[in-house]
Amino acid sequence: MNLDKEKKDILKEIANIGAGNAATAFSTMVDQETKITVPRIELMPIDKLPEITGNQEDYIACTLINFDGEISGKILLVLEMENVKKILQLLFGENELPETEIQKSALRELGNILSGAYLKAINIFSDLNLSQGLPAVAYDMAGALLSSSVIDYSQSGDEIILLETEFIISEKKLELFYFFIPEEKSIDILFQHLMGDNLA
Amino acid sequence: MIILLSLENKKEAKKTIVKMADWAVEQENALLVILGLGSCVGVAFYDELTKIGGLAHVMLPESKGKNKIESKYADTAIPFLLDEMIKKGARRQRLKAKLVGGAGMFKTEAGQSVMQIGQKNIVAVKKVLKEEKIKVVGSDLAKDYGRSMYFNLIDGSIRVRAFNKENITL
Repeated sequence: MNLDKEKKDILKEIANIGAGNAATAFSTMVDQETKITVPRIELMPIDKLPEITGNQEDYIACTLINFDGEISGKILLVLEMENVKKILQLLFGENELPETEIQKSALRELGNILSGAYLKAINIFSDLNLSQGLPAVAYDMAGALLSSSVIDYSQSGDEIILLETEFIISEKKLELFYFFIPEEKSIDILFQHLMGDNLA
Repeated sequence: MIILLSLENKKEAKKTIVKMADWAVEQENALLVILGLGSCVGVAFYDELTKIGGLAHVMLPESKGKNKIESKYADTAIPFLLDEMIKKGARRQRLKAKLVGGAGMFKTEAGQSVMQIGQKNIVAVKKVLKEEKIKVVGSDLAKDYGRSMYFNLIDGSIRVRAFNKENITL
C-alpha cells in the first residue's frame, strides 16, 4: 500500500469532514465547546498502534465500532481513565457516577453517536453507503485493547491506515482520541470514487 | 520477590520487550516481557538445564502460507521458536511450555465477544504444541482482560499482571 500525496489529501478531507460532524454531535451531547485537532493520516505499522497513548500499560476506556458497506473498517474511541470520569459527569451531571455497567452503556452510546455522525458525513461527501455495527466497549490496558481491535487486519498485512483526530474540551482539559481505520483492501474503492477513473 | 533476590549478586538482567509478531531467545540472566496481551498469546518455552528460554508473541492462528513473519502465526511461530532455541543449545526433550493471553477483550451491550481471535489463538497454539509433543506446564488464558507477562529465565517462572487482579505466578 502506498499513500501518495493525492490519496493522503483525500483521506485528510474525509477525516476533516467526518470529525467536524462528529464534533458537532459531541458538543451538543456534552453541552461544551469542542475543538478538533488537525487530523493525522498515517500508514502505521500495526505494532505501533498499541503504544499510541504513550504506554502499553496505560489504563484506558476504548469503544470499538466496525463499519461496513462500500468500504469497511473500524472506528476506535479512546479515553484515558481520568477522562472517562469527566465525560460521564458531563453526560450525567455532577452527581455520583453511575455503576460500571451503566458507564459502559453510556460510552457505547457515545461511540454510536460519534461514529454515526462521522460516517454520515463521509456518505454525504463521497456518496458511498456505509453502515455501522454494534459498539463494544472495554476498560483495560491500552496495549491489550488496541492490539486486539485491529488484529484481524494483520492477517493480510503489517500496516494499517490510520486517520486520527482529537476532540478537545479545553475547559475541562478533556481529550478524546478518535481513530478511523479503513480496511486496506476496500480503500481503493474510496479513491476510485473520489478521484474518478483516471486512477490507473 | 524472587527477581530481586536472585539478581542481587549477579549482573543486571537483560530485559527484552517482545512486541507483536516478535520473538526472543535468551539464556539465564534475562527477563522476557510482553506488555498488554489482549487476544494475542505469549508462548514461552524453557529448558531447565541450560536455562535457555524463548518467547513468541503470537497474533493469529494460521499463516495460510502468505506472510513472511513466522512468529506472527501459531502454526509457524512454534516450530520457528523451537528451532531458534535448539540452535542456541536447548534440548527439545527438556522443553516445557507456558501460555498467557488469548482474551476476548471487547463486549457488546448483549455481552457478546466481538472477535473470537483470542479463543482461536488458544486452540491453534495448543494444537501445534500437541503435534510438537511439548507439554504445557502453566497457563493463564482466555477470559476478558488484558495481561502483561514477565518471563524470568533464572528459573523459568512467569509473573502475570492484570488490572484490578492479583498477580499470578506460573
